[in-house]
Amino acid sequence: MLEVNDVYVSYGHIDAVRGVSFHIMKGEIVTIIGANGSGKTTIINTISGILRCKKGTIQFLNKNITQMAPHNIVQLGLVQIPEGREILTTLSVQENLEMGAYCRKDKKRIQQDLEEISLRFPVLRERSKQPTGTLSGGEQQMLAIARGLMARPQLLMMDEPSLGLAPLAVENVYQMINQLKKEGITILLVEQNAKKALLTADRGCVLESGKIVLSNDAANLLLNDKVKEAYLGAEKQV
Amino acid sequence: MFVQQLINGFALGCTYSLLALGYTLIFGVLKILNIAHGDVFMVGAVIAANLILFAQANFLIALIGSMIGTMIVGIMIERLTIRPLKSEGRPLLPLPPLITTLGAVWVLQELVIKIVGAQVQPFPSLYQEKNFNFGSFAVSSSQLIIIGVSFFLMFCLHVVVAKTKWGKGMRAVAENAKTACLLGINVNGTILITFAVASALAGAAGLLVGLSYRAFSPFMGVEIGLKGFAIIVFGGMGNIWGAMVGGLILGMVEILSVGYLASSFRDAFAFGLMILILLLKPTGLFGSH
Amino acid sequence: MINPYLESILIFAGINIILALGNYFPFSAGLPSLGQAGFMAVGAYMSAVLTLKFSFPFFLSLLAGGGMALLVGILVGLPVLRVRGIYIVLVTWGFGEAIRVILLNIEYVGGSGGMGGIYPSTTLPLVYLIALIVAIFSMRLKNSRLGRAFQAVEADQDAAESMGIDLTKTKLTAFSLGAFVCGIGGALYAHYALYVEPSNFNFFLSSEILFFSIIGGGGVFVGPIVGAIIFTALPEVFRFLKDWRVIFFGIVLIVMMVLRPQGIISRDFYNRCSNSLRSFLLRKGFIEQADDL
Repeated sequence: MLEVNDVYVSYGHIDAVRGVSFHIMKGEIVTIIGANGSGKTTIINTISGILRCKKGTIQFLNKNITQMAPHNIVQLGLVQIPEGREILTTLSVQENLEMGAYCRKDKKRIQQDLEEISLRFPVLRERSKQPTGTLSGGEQQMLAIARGLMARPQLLMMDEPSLGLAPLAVENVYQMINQLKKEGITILLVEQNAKKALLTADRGCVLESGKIVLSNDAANLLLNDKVKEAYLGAEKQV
Repeated sequence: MFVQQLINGFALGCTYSLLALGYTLIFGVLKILNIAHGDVFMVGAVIAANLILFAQANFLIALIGSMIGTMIVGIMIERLTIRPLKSEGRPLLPLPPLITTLGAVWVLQELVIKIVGAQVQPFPSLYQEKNFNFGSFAVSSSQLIIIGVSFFLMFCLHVVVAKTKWGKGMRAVAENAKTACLLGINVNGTILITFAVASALAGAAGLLVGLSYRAFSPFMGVEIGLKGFAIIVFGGMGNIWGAMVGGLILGMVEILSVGYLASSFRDAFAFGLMILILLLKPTGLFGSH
Repeated sequence: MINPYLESILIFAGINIILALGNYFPFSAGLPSLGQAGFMAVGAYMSAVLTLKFSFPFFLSLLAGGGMALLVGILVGLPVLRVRGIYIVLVTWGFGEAIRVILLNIEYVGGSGGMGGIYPSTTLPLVYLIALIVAIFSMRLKNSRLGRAFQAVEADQDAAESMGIDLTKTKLTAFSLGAFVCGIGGALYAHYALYVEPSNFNFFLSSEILFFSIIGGGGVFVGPIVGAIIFTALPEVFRFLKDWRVIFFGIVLIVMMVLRPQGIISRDFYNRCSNSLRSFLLRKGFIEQADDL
């Protein structure tokens, strides 16, 4: 479904991503784990079209999206849930959800989806007319995911969904992700919280200083010594 | 007497509001100050005057004509002076667009001077001025038209911003351009439409001001420019209510000052309001985006 | 004797150089001002009043004009201290307009009619002497403690403050220095044009003065000088530009910001040139190792 080939991205003279290649097949959950500054958000933003890569190609559903404008990429069904949630605070919860379906044209289905989503995310239904400032971190993440789902994505990219959340909220978020997995939604999960990510994903890549250094089934990565030392040791408190 | 001044000020304030709305819409989506917006307003007055003079246009045609004309000029300004400054992934810094729009002011003003001359010219009249007397005060037909048209346009804008796709997209872009991208909003397209709407409002304001002052000149853009900025600083940059209310307040303050103080300091009130709000509540009366 | 037409161009170029440097001082400290015409007006009017109505000697009124402008500069600088970024442009623009409006209303200096009959005390050698002094001062300033403070504040004022730089003192100094120099420029202008009125010192003029730095290069003091020369001289060299001067430079501004925002003389370019010059002079034994350009 998604093919990233030998992509190089730089900020001025600084090379943030160097020769990254990976692919995602339909129905899979693939995770990219790595430390802060390893280039995870850069990769996701490049796929979304917000950044341009110097070299390399990106294909989505057999279309070349390397030079495509971001809003067209979203219309193809490639949706990102950004780091830090990025909820629109000048809009109510309901309006945020409606914005998720911005590029869709099928009004009736959008209405149906809105109702389905509020069933699925009961917390949001309670607060639907409220301004978003009243939501907790975990609730905001749910809203961000719900908003992403409103676009009926073919591929959902999540940038650090557990960032800044209390352990209980992280549990809820990952329960939701697992739920989505069961429904067959393809997901690219970028995470610092390696343990949670590897437990949920099918396959994983480890990113260090802009390069993929390991790529394997998630189960194998969990057992890998290097991974354990670098990324799983510190996760004891989760 | 006081009520009369208030009415005069209110009518003037309506035109200020239309102009300030343009400044605030543009600031909202781009976070920049478009100095050329005042000249767009001036072009509106010039187009309207020429339509009436040479094409025997009535009020409606002059209004639509000037709004379309200024829309085109506004779009050209966006394409030529603002778009080229944007680059990948990096946000637009405030100073370069200030300089390029200043360059656009030079070009626009001088072009207009070359075409219509540098003097102040009389604005052609469209109808017989009538005064509606209400005892201690009177409202002229010009003022009724100004207030009516302004409120109609502001109402339309309100509806458009709240209900249409562009309006919602614009609010999203104004809050967070990157997230707007991720929601599938065509950010560049939205900005273009915002410019078009802002410029059309400026065109309408140009016609209305020309009608009420019975005069227009190529220099009116710069003269009103600082006032426009003062209003949005006062009302809150990027805030639509701030622009509307701020414009009305400035109009009334100016006219009252002429009535009760010296008329020669009238233009300084805009500046005074701006300094006042910067010292007391820098984010503006209604808060900025 | 030089032909009077050429002389007038040279004098205007010289005055523009002085004004450009006057705008450059606050600009280099991160305070872009669109109100320098106001300070120019103060200097022009003050000096004209002193020579015309009080028979002061020219040099004295020149300095007094600059001094008055400096005081106004401090006055204006105080609110400017409280704002950042784009607001600085708006506040200085406002003050420039305020000065103009105030002068419009002072009957003593002629109100909207302005003041005429000013003595032609400005001469070509004087203008260039002053321009040279200001230029050399700018060059010295560049590597001085104050100059480095300007650069630090311009780059990142919070970081500068945490390094111990007194923001208030630095910004006020930059601003009043600029006002003083623009005041002197105004005084020179008044005693050359022999007539001043408030509408001369408008927003258009302020933007023109800012443009000298933008086109010439805002990173180093040579930039505004080059900008001022180009602005004054180009329309003379290319005749067709005379009528189209404003439109031409407006377009140049736009193109410049897109293609080469650092201006003609960028800091890099200046450094490379001065380094090669310095090594050349070193080799020829003209200067010692420690000299800085």
